[in-house]
Amino acid sequence: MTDDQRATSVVDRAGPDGKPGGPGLLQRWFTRLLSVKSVTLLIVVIVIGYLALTPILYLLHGVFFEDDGFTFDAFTRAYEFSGFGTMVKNSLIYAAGAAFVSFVVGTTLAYIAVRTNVPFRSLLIVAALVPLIIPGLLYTISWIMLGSQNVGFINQISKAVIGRPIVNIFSMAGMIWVEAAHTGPLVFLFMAAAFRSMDPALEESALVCGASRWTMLRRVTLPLVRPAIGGGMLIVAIKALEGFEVPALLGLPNKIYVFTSRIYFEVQNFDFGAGGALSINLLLLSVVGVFAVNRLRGGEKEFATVTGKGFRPQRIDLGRWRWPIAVGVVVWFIITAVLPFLVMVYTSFLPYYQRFSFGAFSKFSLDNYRDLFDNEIFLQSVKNSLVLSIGSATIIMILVGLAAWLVVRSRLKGRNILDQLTFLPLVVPGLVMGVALSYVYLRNPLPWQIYGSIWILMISYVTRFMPYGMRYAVPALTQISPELEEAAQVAGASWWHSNRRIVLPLIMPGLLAGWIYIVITSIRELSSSLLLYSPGNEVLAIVIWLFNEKGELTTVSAIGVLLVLTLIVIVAVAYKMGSRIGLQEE
Amino acid sequence: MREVRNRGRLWRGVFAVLLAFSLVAVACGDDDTSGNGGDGDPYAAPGSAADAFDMYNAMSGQARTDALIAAAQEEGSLIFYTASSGMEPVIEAFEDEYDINVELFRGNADTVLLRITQEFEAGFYGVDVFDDAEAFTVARLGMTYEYVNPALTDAIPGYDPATHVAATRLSVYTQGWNTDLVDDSEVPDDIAGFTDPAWCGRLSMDPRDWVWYIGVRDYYLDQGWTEEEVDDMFRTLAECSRFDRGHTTQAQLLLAGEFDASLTVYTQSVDRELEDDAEAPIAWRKSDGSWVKPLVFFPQGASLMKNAPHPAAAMLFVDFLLTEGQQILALKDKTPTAIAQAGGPLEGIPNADLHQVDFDKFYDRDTWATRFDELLTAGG
Repeated sequence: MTDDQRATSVVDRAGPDGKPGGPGLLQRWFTRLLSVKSVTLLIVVIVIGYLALTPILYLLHGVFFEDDGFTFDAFTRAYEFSGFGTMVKNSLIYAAGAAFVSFVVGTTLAYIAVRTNVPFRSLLIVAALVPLIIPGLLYTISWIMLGSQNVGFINQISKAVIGRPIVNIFSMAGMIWVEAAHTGPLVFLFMAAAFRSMDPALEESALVCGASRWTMLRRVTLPLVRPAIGGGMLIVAIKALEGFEVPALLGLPNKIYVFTSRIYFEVQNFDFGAGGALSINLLLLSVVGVFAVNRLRGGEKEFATVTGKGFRPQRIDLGRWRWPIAVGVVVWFIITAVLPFLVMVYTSFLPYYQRFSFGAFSKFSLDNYRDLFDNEIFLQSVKNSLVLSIGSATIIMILVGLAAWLVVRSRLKGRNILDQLTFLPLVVPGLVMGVALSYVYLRNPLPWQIYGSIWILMISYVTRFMPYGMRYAVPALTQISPELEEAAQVAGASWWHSNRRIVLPLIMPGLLAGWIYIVITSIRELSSSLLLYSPGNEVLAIVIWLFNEKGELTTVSAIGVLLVLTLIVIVAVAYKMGSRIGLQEE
Repeated sequence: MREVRNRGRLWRGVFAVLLAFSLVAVACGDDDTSGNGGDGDPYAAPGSAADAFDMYNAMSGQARTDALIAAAQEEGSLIFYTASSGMEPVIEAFEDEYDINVELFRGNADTVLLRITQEFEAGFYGVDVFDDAEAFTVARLGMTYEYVNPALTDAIPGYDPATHVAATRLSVYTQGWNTDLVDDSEVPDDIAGFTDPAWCGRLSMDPRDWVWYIGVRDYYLDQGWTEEEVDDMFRTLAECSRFDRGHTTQAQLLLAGEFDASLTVYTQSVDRELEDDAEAPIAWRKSDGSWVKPLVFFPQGASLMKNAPHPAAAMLFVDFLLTEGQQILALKDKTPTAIAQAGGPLEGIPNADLHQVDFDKFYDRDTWATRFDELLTAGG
């Protein structure tokens, strides 16, 4: 690294060097522009901007431009129907409820798993992710089999014992429960990463000063991870507002309509204008949300718990609460992960979908698994899905890792726009994303053939899941005090070197959590894949959909079982490899 | 300070360029519908495969078949888009018989229609044959070519060559029930019978089935009912039903006993379950073979795409769909076929009892989907 480049890094942090104009200015400007740092960051901004703006502009174009030019007609069509008020109310209750429950559960579990000495910790981390791995359709249907008043297993037992059903999954509470149990792992991953990078010295000081554990949690622990909490809540709430499977399968039967039901209705009728006009609400909400979360992040050093001072993550001894808490955690996992998984296993052995009965055991066979391996495209789709999900997760985490550095560390004007840009794709409905991408790549602006190849799926996944990656990366970097890289740079390390050797290992828990989340969810991505895949490029979500369309829910369950088992192995390997780069625990 | 400002400007400049680039990417195709496929309006143009289709359309008998096989094998492959879930056995049989590789794209009706329209508008002609209910829409837009083969199409009831669609399958809407929960004697003779309060709370319907609504509505209007009476019936049915999206999901939940009867299932959704396990507790016909009236259907058909890259293979495949393909669909996939097959799912049902949905209303999706939605909202 040249002295000039080193000076640049310092200018970034310390402000202008005070020399206005002069013959050297242009030269310095070019040198700076051509440094590794500038070129890397410039590429990141271009790629993210291109990915994010393409679908958003397509959506906005559809909303505001129709045959006769600029118009607001789409809004009239979208909002003029009966029951609008109830729909908004339902959506808000649903999203807020799901965000709150998944926040409480996800955060509690993450704290227990990362910061305490509860038994079976590694099992807990993997088990916490199971609900996330099960595709939404299967998870929701499993809950119908468990919590429906007519056929639900839980109610079958309660009817036998107390003579009446005790839960009704086809209700607002049921919707919130299933959504929260399904998205709880998202919060879990967020918070586990935040807690892992947190210096326990502050908590210890609170305890030494006489604070109770509860006061310590309330006054020290939670405030310190506020950026992660804000990011997590925002993403869960918007995901719940945008999510489709739970409202369609659990809300619709009792005529509980939410926002997405309407967006879906408009999009189904090819009215992308009206569908987009409804999505604009989500767009505004997410812009405000990201802004608020950025405000929450506040001053740079406020949340930085990993500083130049020695830092060793240590666990809190739960004492006599160790086993009661372990039992509570196990019960939670039996309910949210084991029971739905067992429903899938049970269904996967049956010739047709049916309620639980001991008589059904006589019909058990491996036929569904056999059908699966006889299916030509199944194995090909597994390969494609693995390439796409691991590839897109890796690309995203590299992109957002650098973008997060720009947003959190640099003093560049417009850095918050970059933060907003990375978040925007979250509000574009999957089908609209598919339409936008095929529209663009059928008239290819790039020098390579994208349409009809696996690359269009890669672009779609990277765009769709970039917002999640960014929400993982930003809080992770916020926790790391800049003094560490500054020290490295003062000692002569280049920008690239100091980031690779110091920042990257420290934010690894956050990046890894994001990577795992994206690998798992991108395997399930269906709505844009359905439009963008081509023969030979089928992905697992397409195969699941094909079997489901044929009414073979039993085979779909077999895929679900295999998917859970495979992804658990991938997650375990990822954690193992990640821990080699990231923080070493005691 | 100036350097900081310069850098601010630099980044703002980058954003501006990005915005412009994405705008160009999104907007560049607006007026460009010629793409790589030809000049002028692609909807009005005769299509790149017109000459080949004209030649085969003018031929008949063994000479036609021989010419098609030779040319199709030369072409080597075929690209087929469909929304049907039961085409795999047909494709396998075709590949085995002619040694021609079939590339299959399957989506739901909406995504297949979206894809085919988007590709056509961009001048990307990557499909030979399209088979779906939306084939009629695609043909009306001007993307298809006429299929002439009276030896086969004469057997299709109501075939109109002007539509460019050779019907291959019928989507027959019916009412299914769980035989553990419903006795044959309870099942009404016609759909209006489900408005009986005894059924209230035991039913399910798919709130997206506006096509079914059109068919049932017209049937009762033909029976002399007033529009208000028909609408009242639908409101009552909606009020007494839960809503479950998707015909296969409905069939699954019906099997599990989540509700007693479904107002909107396809015959094949029920028949496939019985094919998997004859003891599955589900039926759409009573033990005496009777069914709930009316049976409303919409034809699904195959169309030749006028810019097909493999025209001979395309035509050979449509021939196959109308011959061996019909048997495979009816017997293996349990799908009602356009040309009735012995032992098929509609055996014993006279044509007069099958009511086709009005085409004009089918094309007016906006009006009828919205109207059905309003009835459901009022009833729900």
